Amino acid sequence: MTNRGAGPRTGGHRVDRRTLAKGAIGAAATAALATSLPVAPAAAQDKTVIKFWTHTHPPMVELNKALVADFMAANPDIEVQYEIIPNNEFATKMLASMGTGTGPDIINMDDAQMRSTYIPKGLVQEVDPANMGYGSLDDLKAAYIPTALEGSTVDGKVYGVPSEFNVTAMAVNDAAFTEVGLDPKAPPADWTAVTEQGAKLVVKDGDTFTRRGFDFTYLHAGWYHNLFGTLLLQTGGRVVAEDGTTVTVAEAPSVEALHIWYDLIWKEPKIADPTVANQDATVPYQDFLDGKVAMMPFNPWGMGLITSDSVVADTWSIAPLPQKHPGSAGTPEATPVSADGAGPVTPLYAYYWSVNALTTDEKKKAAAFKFIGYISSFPGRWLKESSFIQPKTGWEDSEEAKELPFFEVWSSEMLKGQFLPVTPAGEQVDTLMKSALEQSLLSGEDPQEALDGVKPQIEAAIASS
Amino acid sequence: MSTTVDPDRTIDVVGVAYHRPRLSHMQKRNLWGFLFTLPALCFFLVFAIIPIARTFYLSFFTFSVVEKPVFAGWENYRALLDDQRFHASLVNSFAYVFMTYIPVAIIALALALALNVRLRAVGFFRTLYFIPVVMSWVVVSAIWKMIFNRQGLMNAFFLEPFGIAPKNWLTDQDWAPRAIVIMSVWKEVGFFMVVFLAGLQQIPSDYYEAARVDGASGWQLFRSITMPLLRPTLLFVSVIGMITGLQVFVPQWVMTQGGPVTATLVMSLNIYQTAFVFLKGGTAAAMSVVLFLIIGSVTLVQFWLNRLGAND
Repeated sequence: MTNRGAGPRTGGHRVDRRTLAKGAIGAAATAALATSLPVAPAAAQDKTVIKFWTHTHPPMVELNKALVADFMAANPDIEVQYEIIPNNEFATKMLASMGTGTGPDIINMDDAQMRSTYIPKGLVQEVDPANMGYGSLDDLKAAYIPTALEGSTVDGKVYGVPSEFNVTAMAVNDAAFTEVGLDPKAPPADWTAVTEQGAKLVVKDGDTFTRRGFDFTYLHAGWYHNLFGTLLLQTGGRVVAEDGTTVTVAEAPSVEALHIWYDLIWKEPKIADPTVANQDATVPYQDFLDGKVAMMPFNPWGMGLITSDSVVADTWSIAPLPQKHPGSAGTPEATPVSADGAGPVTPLYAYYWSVNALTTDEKKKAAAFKFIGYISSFPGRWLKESSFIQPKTGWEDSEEAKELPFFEVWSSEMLKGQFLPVTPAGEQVDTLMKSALEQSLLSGEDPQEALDGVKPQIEAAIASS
Repeated sequence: MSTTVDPDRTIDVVGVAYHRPRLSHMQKRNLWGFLFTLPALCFFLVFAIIPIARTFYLSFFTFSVVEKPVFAGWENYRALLDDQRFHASLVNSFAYVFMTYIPVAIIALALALALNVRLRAVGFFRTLYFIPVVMSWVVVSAIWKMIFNRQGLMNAFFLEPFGIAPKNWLTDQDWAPRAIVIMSVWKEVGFFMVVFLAGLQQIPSDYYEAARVDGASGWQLFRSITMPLLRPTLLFVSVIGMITGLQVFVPQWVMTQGGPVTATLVMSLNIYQTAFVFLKGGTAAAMSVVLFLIIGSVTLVQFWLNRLGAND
């Protein structure tokens, strides 16, 4: 019996240097041969692989996964690699990947970034109606309501179709209203009423709010952009004037907008408190869901986050967003939106599916447009399964729309909607604005001083952009 | 065509023989040494020297990650003079270094002294203190973010039992930097403790025995033997602490993203945001060069001070 384990000491085969070298060469050759062999059947090699990235939002992610699987089953020649990026990192990672040529083939980005960065810098491709299943660009445009494509249109060219189209309203904790003797069916229509009703809704444990009357969210720069932008629309303020160079952030209408927010936190009766607010952008409405805030600005997709586990599971409703000029609430058609804010106005924002213009492989581009055409062809499912409004023409007449909770409020708010203006150096300006807003809202600096302080920084950012 | 006839003699095409110079043993050893280090040198050249040189070069251009560079001269450096975020990030970086690494050095030295003994459980304690070092900064930061939450353990254990109102550490301009410092001290102490332990174990015990025979007290032993002989270790700790601290990025990014306002905006984070969020690659490159020069200068000053101290 051979002692295999004993080696040279027992007289077994001795491994000399030459044998070792032969073995190494043999192993290297085998490895090289192995790596050169096809690793997949020929059919798999012919697949066009496209990358698709989105931010995190559980109901959206689930539906994306389902639609990706369905699409690949229907198109065996295309493989869609779906990746989810944490919300806080999404914008940065997306841009960094674009710069290094490793970005996704399908970009899912919000209108502000589309208009301020992706379209001007040529990062997204003009839509390809034919590959998306439309006869022409006019057919594609006709498939959507008129404002739907505004967030992805520059100089008449369309660069994406909406994956979600959002309007802002207000979520109301009905149980809290009833508890303090308020009528949840008559929520505040203006900011004065918000403060009055909010004061009654506040619950404290010592000095600590356990339920705020009304509050905004305090998350990343994009959230501040949208929320402060909401107030700017109402007061007629702007961070930067329409000329794109004059910084108007410290002028009276903008200061007034910040005062609306600031007063809720710092002026008696205090009804908001950022120090107890949720800090996790993945669950931005968690405080409302947990009953820690009685009223807060809310978007349609937020309804997808309310589950049976939520404290407010059966006791919430959606009301129109409080206004500086409420006008004739409920009949928005009678109170047309004006640019100076003299009327009710709510912000619109949207995310768009677009194709990476830096993708050089035309097959990938075609596959990407085909996928977008497919995934955007289920507005009913998007509405039902993730509360995402995809504003195709006549969407409001669909069965799913009628089943959308508080459909009447959402659709009436949409009629007051405007996209927020974008500024040059948008990301930098948003980051600077976040700091200024935090300086005022979190630290109590007077709004005028906080905005005076950020003005030269914004001027410098724009000058160097 | 040449024909080799023996290892040291070569005949060229016209038949004239000459002798190849014989390498000395030292030269051969150096050659082999160079050849063995060549892969590492190539790696260093490709992933360190060339990027550093390119960063210097790009700091004179305006560009973004998605646009081609355009020459801008000294403009990126001039802009830094008026850049309030850059100034804030500089101050915050140095504040972070001093608030973190001075306590770290003191605590690590104290722990090293305490654990530089022959006790049965000493290995357990050394391991215990070292565990945070092997954990990822991202993981540690995410955990401490929850600890510093208003409903987190920090308030529950250290404030509320003493009747102090709980605070949301990470949204308070004054407390957010301190929160990150507390977490960083916890994370970093173990590494520097091991460094100090190594330094302490290099000190011959004869010195202590001789001093004890002469009646030296514990403090005198520490002041006159331990500290002077730990000077190289202290230099290492101060240099590594300074470099690590000035390059810090992850805790600020994960826990506060540089906020609230700019309270925790450090240089690396500012550089990252400038390059990849604001799309100002040239400015970010200029900031990187400034950071590089600062770290280089501070390190040289530390070496110089150490040499001065050694000569005294």
